[in-house]
Amino acid sequence: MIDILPLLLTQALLAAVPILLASLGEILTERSGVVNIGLEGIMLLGALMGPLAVDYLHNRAGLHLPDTWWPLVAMLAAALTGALIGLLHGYISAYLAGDQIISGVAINLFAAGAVAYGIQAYWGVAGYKQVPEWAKTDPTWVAVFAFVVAGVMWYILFKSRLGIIIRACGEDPESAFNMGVDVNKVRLLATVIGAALAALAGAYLSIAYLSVVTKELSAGRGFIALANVVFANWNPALAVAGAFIFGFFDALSYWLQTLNLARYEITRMIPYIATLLIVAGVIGRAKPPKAVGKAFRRE
Amino acid sequence: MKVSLREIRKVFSDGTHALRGVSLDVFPGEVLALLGENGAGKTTLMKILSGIYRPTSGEIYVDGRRVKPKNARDALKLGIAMVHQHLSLIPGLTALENVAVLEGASLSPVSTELRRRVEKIAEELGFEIEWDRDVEELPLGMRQRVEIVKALYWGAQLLILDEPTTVLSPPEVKSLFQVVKRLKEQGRSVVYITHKIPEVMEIADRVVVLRRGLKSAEFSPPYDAKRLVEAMVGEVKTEAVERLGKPGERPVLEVKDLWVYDGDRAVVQGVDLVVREREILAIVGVEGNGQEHLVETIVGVRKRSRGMIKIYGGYAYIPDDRQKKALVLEMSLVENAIIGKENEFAKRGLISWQQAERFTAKLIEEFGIVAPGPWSSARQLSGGNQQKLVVGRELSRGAKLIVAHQPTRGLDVATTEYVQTLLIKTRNAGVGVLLVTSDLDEAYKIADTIAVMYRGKIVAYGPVEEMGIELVGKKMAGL
Repeated sequence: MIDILPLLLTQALLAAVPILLASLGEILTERSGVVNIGLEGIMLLGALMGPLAVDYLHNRAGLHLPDTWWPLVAMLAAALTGALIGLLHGYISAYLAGDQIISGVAINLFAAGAVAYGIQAYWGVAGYKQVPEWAKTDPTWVAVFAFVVAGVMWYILFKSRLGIIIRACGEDPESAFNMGVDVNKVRLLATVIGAALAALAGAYLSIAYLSVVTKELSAGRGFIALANVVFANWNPALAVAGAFIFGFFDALSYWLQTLNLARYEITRMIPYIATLLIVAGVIGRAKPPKAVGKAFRRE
Repeated sequence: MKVSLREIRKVFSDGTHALRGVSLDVFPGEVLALLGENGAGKTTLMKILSGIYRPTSGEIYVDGRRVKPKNARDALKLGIAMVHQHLSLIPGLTALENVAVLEGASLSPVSTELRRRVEKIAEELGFEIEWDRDVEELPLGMRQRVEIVKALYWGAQLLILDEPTTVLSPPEVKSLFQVVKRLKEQGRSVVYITHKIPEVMEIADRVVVLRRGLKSAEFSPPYDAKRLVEAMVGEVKTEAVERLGKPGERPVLEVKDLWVYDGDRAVVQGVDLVVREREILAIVGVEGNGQEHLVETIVGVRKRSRGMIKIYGGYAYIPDDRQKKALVLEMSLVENAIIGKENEFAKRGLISWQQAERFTAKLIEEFGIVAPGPWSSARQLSGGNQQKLVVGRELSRGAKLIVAHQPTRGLDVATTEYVQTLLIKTRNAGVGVLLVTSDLDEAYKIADTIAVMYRGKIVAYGPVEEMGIELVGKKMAGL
């Protein structure tokens, strides 16, 4: 057990990255007052669109790029996809004052269908596609990137004047408006960036971590990220710790699987049960932004 | 800076005519009191001046130049700032961040220069403010001071104070008046919104009275209190009802060594009190000293941690927030009237709506509720009529104890008078009343006994004759 620990911790770190990226995105979005439960779907779309875009550019459009560039292009394509979904969700939530939960559910349903269909339609295979070597990348640098994002976001939210404005929109949009803040613009931008980060988390899964595209690739990580946002009390620094805990249970379940102690259906339940327990433990103590999920309209 | 408002009208989206053409000038270095009842349009007028509402028609001039502020920041750029009654600082941000929010977006942090200047302004006014705490954790009086500093930091030349003394203890009121005087010496103007005559007489250089969206009168010193009231309420007709007889012996409510916790904070700390038949016990204090927890524990909304509560002969409850705690706004008057006693109107589990409607019609008549009809929703009623509905429903329960929490807050003078009269009449009929109020005038007017609550404890308790205003004021401030 002791000698397995370093490996387990490394694995935990890698498993934490997608949860961290998605949590950070959601923290930014919710701090501005918009809730996006479509994280799961956006992750899934990012996981598909990254490899699909590079495959298209490389194999069909015949674009020539140094090999080291392709993973970057994939990441960019995923982020763009996420940003587009974020634009839609942000517009519906902020400017149209639509129901944010319904919009989020719609994103998840759309993604579940679109990804399964996309794999089939583009590659002609059902539900599973290996990512080619040249499009893959080392997960370590994405992990580093995720930690940098966490630091930057913490600084922006709690130290910079921009952060004051973002938090003001999530706590009390009425007053923020009266202080000259364009509340809906801030909310739209935060939602776009948040969704782009969730899509990056998806691309990490397909091109760095698991090296495949499947129709269930995100496997609930988007929802675990939502739980982590609550656990982290909407603080990017704590989100790092939370993601690591969730990542640890993920890694643990894979390790237990290799021991053949029980059927893998049982051991794979560990991260989800841990999520339930952890969130049940912090609920009531968490202090969400007061106006999160509420549309802002002026009298 | 001279500010002029010309023929300002405001019609809200629900059709309320809040202002029907008001013109007004504010001169530099003067304290102008804007006096009027709730709903007279004072706050609406000033929210228009400070950019929060847009007028339906009318013009605003600053030093002769026409201006159209889009929001509070615009108005502030012109030198106009408003300190709201329900203070408008953003929760979740620190006091300092609330000042810095106006600097606009930037990746750089709040400058030390801003902090230095903010602290200097606070010091000049004699304010002690904890700048790095979340404003939600600050007492209301301190939040008000944060708003004043914020306004001055951003260069306000005209400061609008909306009912500023509601959240203050008597010594804090005194120091606020000092601040107003200092602002005046600095050449700034202050518009002081209030419905309290004594405050007006103490600090105003000029008084403008609004009534029903129109300017009804203007006064300069020396003021005649009676004429101010007349201008405010129109004709004054008061049917003075006196407390008859002494309180009885038998208790209707006994509370012994009551402790209530909010999280790990003891908000009610060992309270003892007794309400007897034919007695109005007023618990006074600055809001937020545990009164809410005390009341809500007595009526069973909250859990007590320790201690004893005994109620003899049932109780009725008039909560402090009629819209959130007493009425279901979307439901009809009939439904609201029978909530909590629907069984009296039910036969074999089915409600007899005819009977319920008759009961409601009786309430409407007896308590003078102005409503489109018994089946219109409670939301359509004005604040005063909503409160009459609540009071009517509760008094008709026939309980021996009435728990009334801020029963006249936000009501106009006439309705306030009416509710107070009802409480006295009920008392005279042998019912005990536990009145929790932050309005000292109200307490002195109707109570038999006064108790002062400060930081969760009853710090003074006695018959009204023995509780001088000086003493009560001191105790409210914790002195």
